[in-house]
Amino acid sequence: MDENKAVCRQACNYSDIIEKYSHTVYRICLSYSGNRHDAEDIMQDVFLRYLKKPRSFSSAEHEKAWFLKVTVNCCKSFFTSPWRNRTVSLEEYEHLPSQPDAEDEKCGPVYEAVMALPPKQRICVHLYYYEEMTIKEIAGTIGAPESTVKSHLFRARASLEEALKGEHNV
Amino acid sequence: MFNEEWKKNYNSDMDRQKPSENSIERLKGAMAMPNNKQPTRKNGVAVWAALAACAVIAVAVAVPFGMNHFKKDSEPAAASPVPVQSSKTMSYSEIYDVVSKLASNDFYYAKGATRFAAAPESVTAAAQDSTQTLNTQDYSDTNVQVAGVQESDIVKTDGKYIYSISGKKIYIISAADGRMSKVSELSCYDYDEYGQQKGYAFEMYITGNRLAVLKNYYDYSYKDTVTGSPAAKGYFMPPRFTKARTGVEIYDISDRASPIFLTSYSQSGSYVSSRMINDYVYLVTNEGLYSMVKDDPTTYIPMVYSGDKGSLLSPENIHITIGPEDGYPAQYLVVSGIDAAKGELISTKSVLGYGNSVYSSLNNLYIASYSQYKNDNAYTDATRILRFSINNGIIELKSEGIVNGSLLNQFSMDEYNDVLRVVTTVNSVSAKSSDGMISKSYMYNCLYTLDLSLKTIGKTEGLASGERVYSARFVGDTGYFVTFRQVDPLFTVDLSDPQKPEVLSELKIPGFSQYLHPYGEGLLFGLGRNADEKSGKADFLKLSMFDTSDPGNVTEAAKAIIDGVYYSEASSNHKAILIDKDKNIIAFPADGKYYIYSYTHENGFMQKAVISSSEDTNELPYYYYQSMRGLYIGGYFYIISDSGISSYGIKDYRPFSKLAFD
Repeated sequence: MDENKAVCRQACNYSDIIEKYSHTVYRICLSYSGNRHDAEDIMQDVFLRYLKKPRSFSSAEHEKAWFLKVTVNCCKSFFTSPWRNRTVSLEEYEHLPSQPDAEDEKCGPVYEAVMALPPKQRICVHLYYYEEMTIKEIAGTIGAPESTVKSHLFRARASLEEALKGEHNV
Repeated sequence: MFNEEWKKNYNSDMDRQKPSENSIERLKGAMAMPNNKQPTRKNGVAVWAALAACAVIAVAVAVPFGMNHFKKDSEPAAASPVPVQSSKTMSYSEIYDVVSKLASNDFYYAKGATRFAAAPESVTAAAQDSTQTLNTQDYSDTNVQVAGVQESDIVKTDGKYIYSISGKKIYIISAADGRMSKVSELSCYDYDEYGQQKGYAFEMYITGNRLAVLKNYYDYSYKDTVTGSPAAKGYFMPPRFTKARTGVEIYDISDRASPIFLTSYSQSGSYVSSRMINDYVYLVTNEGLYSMVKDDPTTYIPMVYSGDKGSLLSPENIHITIGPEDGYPAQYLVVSGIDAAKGELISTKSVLGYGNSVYSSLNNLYIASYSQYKNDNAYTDATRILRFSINNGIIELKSEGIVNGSLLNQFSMDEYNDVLRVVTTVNSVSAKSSDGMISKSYMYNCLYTLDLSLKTIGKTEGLASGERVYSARFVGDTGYFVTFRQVDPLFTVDLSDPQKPEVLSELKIPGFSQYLHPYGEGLLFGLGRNADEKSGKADFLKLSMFDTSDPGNVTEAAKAIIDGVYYSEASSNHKAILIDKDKNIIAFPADGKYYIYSYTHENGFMQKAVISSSEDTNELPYYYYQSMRGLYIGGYFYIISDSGISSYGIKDYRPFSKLAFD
């Protein structure tokens, strides 16, 4: 058993995969959870899930798609897992704006306004504008119909427009 | 619109967001050693359970943004069950033909489901009274929905001992007269021969001299994934996760100091819920099917395990009442009845489908699952309900029905005098995609009464347009439910004639209740959140006592708002709250503290004590407040957390004694 562990430690050098995806994964987690601490924690879950169920990917896109989907799944289960004692349940979470962190760098009004959206809308906005995914890809990733994604984006844009009135010259 | 400039701003701000060095280091450490015990492992992400739960959440959070018109004419047609075919016994290969077609349904819930089979027969169960009975024992038990139907939890007591799943161990603590001492302990975790964690305990039941521990198991394969040969030295493949199962481990605790392992049973799938009636544990799991192979039934037939030895469920115990055209994902619902006293598996039934909410009366287990169907470009929620009769561990699928809308939780269902009452929220989103944007959505709430064949016999629809259900409770002939948008209407519904449910009153107060509990005659307690009357923004935790003595005029008799506290575990988990009318105790954890209140007609709510959780918070992240439970035995009140137990005098809540877990 110890021997196996030792072999594993040598063989399982995952730092490449961490380097490659940690930022993408972290930013999605951040856009869903709204704070750094949860984002880092969810990021851990994502990579541990990769570790638990390693697989061969047919292409780099496939690998990335897997990470995006699993990240979104982990974000969802992070807030719904019955075994996690959390301060805020998902329903209540909807009523809370994301908690800005004192140590966070000062961010612009657009970023702040996006972060003030409900998590479901934030994630769609992030995937659409930051990851530049298509509606179809987002639908596949978050496991919702395309129409739902469109409605999230539509509502998000409406809220942002409201929030950013007079900020057109930022 | 979200123009290029905004996009540039957002993206450049987002580019600066990076995980901390520290977290990357932690990640690298964790990934180099698959066997180490990260905090994340403790919560052992149950993949499929979480995904199934998401289907429900997806609806619940779709609160409209002022775009809600309640539209009667597009009311869905599938409000009552449509008999299609009796479920007949199929061979494994026939089952394969059905489930393999479902595999392409890529959602975690049914989409396009429009018809459901009626059950082969419907049998009338004996009448029963599910109202709360008087508590004659002098200790508190886990807060449950139906008297006599036990629900599992992380802390249990039998009036002499306290059983607690804390951290990595299950502790048995003797708790005589406020003094605690550890009698014995069991590990929560199982490891395989390679040191890979393969099981962990999450909740339990106590009955007489038996301890029944609910466990999640993960099966791993150590075979080389390419050639199928065992991992050779020097060519180590990380273990492959193959299957999740859930089970019950039964211990003989006649001698509390040395529990004896008797037996364990498990079944395919991840945990949905469980109940215990007398000595019989009923376990409900969901199994998702992936990469089915026709020649290998273990890939598409649910299994039951005695210890680690698995066997296929026989075809006559598998009910397939839906077809590929119903849009169901390839998932099984598996239900077992286990005699915890004798340590025997009595029966197992499986139904193609899945479960989100489980309600049990003394004779019937109801399992509700969320689905969506399409009607004129609009997606509308529907809930499929299955009824299983349960009798001393023998489970039979009896009937199946469908109602409009989605359920909040188990409290959305209640059986009384052979009538099932269900409160639902209908959310319908229509997408006219010419311009690619949604055109409208609407939301309203419904109450249905169903007979035992799960045929709708009465209904009230279209309540509280634009709002959704936040909590529900049925007390005898009356149903209460709370909806919310800006102010909280508490609806009181007369159900004495099940065919004509009638709204008696509608009380509007700021905020909303997330848990309702009858508090003696004519009173209903609600735990929830206060909200700003103008903006509707929820703020602090709120306790309400509703005077329901005049159903036509329900009033809020008293309230208390806990300043600065936003969240209580009890808001989403009724097992975390202790409510005892006789002792006049309302107690719950919130924000890492434990609050104890009493209520009197004259003075309203009185805060009796606020007890901080243990001093050492270790290195737990701020969101990770420990779960806490409170209970009383005789003259002492006990508060149990991951780190230990403390006892208090029940009159003045003065600290009496303490025991730390190691």
